[in-house]
Amino acid sequence: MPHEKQLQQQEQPIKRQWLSALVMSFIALPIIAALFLAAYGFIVWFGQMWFWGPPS
Amino acid sequence: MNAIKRLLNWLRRLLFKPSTQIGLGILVIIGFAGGVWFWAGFTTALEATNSEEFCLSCHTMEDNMLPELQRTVHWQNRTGVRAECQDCHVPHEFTDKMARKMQASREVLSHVMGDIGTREKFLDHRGVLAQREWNRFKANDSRECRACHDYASMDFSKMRVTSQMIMRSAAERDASCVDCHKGIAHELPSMEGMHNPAFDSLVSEAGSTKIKVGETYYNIVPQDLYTSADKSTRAGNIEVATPVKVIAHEKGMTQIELDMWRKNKGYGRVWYTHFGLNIVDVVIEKELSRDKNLVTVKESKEDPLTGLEWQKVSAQLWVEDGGLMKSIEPAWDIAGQAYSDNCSTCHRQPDPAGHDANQWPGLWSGMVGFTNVDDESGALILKYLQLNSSDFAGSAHGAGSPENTPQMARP
Repeated sequence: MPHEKQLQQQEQPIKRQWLSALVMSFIALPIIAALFLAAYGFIVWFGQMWFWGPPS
Repeated sequence: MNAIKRLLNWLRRLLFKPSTQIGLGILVIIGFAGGVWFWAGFTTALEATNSEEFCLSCHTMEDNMLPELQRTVHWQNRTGVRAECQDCHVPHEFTDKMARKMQASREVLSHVMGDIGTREKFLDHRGVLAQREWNRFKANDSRECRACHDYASMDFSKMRVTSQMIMRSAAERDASCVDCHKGIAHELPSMEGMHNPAFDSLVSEAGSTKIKVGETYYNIVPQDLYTSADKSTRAGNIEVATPVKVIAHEKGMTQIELDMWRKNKGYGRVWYTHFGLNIVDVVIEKELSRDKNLVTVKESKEDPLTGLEWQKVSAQLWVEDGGLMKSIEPAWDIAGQAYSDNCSTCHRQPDPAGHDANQWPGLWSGMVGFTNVDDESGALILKYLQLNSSDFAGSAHGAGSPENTPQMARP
């Protein structure tokens, strides 16, 4: 019985799996990627302000 | 704690638990499509924020920058090629571009706060904004200009003769375009009556200078001279970059000894540190300049060039604390920068040692009207030029070369 229960717990309905895949690739990951790029821009900008000076 | 654990658990299951129903290929396709979708969105957003329409959507740009640009060759010309805002003001490489885009958050903040919301506020702030852009062009060697313009592709023979000389030598040096072509697409900031912010750091540095009796210091801000420490009688004023010897220091006042020269003519109000050189260092009130109690005449000497008699004079006067500095170099840094920024707008600035100390005042007053340098900086620059002139540098290069010929017309 414990084995079956475990399976039930871990097994997600197919609808959930489709939803996860679609939400992840079209909404969540693009947003995360954009945030990373923004963070990269900010890091470079602050670096220019404090360490490197204007881009050469 | 429990929430974090649940979140981690959820993430672990999301990332590592294989899908049991959806095929691997389908998942990869979904992910790939998601990537394409993101990249398309990202470049679209980057393009959209990199357009003239986007820049002009702020009224600050539309009201101030557009009408000015519309009067220049970068707006309309016979070849029909034109530069838009982003061509000059947004770096073209990815990293610098991203940094600049994020930097724009500052502009958004400024827009919300209304820092330059009106034409007046904008004009007041323009010097700072322009300097920021000039520094950027200086650092990257005018890279954005060079996206279109290239020394190698210039046909010098098609230029006016005066332009030719200057452009050829600029090409040889691979000079940065904006070194000379400031105000090429917008009006130059008006510096008149404006305060050069570089002076603030100088004054704060002077404020922390420890004054020791017996040492020689340089005066770095024009200030009043007094006959006594209680400031009851004003004796005159002392100019920037004048060397003084400190003989006493008490209650926020410093007593200085001035050993200088003056022309024995009229009141003899104007004093000079160097014999025969018209570098104004101190101006004494006319009631006091011939006062034997205050001023001691030590010797007299005739200047062979003018036949004027010069007197070596000495006086002990008081100044307020906070205007003296051990070294004059920081002031020269500011002066040198201001000199090259302002004078290079029209022509390559002559080497300070290209003229002598008595030539510079005439040259300076003849040219300063074409610049927009503030009075404070102007006085410092003239001093800088005189004290770094051929009388002091001991060389005779620079003068008379074609590059030093002023070119009045700006393209």
